[in-house]
Amino acid sequence: MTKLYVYGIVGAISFDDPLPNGHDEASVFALVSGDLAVAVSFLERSAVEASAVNVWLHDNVLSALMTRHAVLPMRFGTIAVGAAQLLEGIVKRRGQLMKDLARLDGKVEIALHISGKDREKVEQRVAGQNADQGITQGAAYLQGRRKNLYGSDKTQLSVQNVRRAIRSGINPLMEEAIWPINAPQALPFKASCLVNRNDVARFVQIVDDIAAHSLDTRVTCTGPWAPYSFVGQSGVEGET
Amino acid sequence: MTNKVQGGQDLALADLLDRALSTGVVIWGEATISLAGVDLVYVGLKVLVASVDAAQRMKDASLVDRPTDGGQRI
Repeated sequence: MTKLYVYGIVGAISFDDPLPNGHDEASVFALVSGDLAVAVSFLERSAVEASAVNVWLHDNVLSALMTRHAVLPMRFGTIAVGAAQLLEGIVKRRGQLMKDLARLDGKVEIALHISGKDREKVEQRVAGQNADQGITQGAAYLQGRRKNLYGSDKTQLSVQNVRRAIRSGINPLMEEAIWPINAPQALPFKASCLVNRNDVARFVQIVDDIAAHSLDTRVTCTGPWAPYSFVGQSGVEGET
Repeated sequence: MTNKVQGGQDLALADLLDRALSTGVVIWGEATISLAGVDLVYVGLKVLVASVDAAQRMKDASLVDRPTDGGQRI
């Protein structure tokens, strides 16, 4: 039975520009529900393999849609058995979906990573110390794991300083953020930032400038992504 | 940055997997994917990952906490 693979919900009823093909080379088209549309393609399978190629393909369709429309990305693997089931689900959640589309219009998600440059050397160092100190393998494993997870005190301090500096620098550009505070010492530090598409270059420049002055840390960003982490959120900053 | 690989292709893929597999809109409370030929089901707000057969058995036994509204991240 032919199914529909669902990529995202779009605040437009037609897609003007050609989109990349979806899974199984099927064309992506709009299924309209009122003033919302759902980007879908026909699928002959009951599930899609979570391979790198397939997940990139899912994201490529969303990226193409995002350049022109507000898009709510669906979780990878969302498949409807038919248009009726899909549209029924959309109608039931119409209020929340419309709110999210308005809130996330023109915004993209950027992933931020901060880690210590010495992290990869820690295990070797710990192994060397163990030979001298007669530490058991189990204790060595736990010590190595702890140091790998949290880094040295010096690394922790460097990461905290960079984290604060970056937060302060990018704060004016962030619409929302998921910024861990409960376990800030775990490395790499990871945060998700929602920024206006037009501010992405400035955001990256600020991060790069701060990173260039910190010799002990590695700071990287990826994106811009569709706002996966921010759908269904209240609109206030979420700190986890 | 716009090509998503400022931090390297592997890091970009890891970030994408983090997001696409565990966040995003969920309309029915379920998204079915396949890993190494085994169909998996993500159920609702709690990321229960199980085989389709196991999830079906749990559903039948009313052990699965199904969401009443979708579109939530976990």
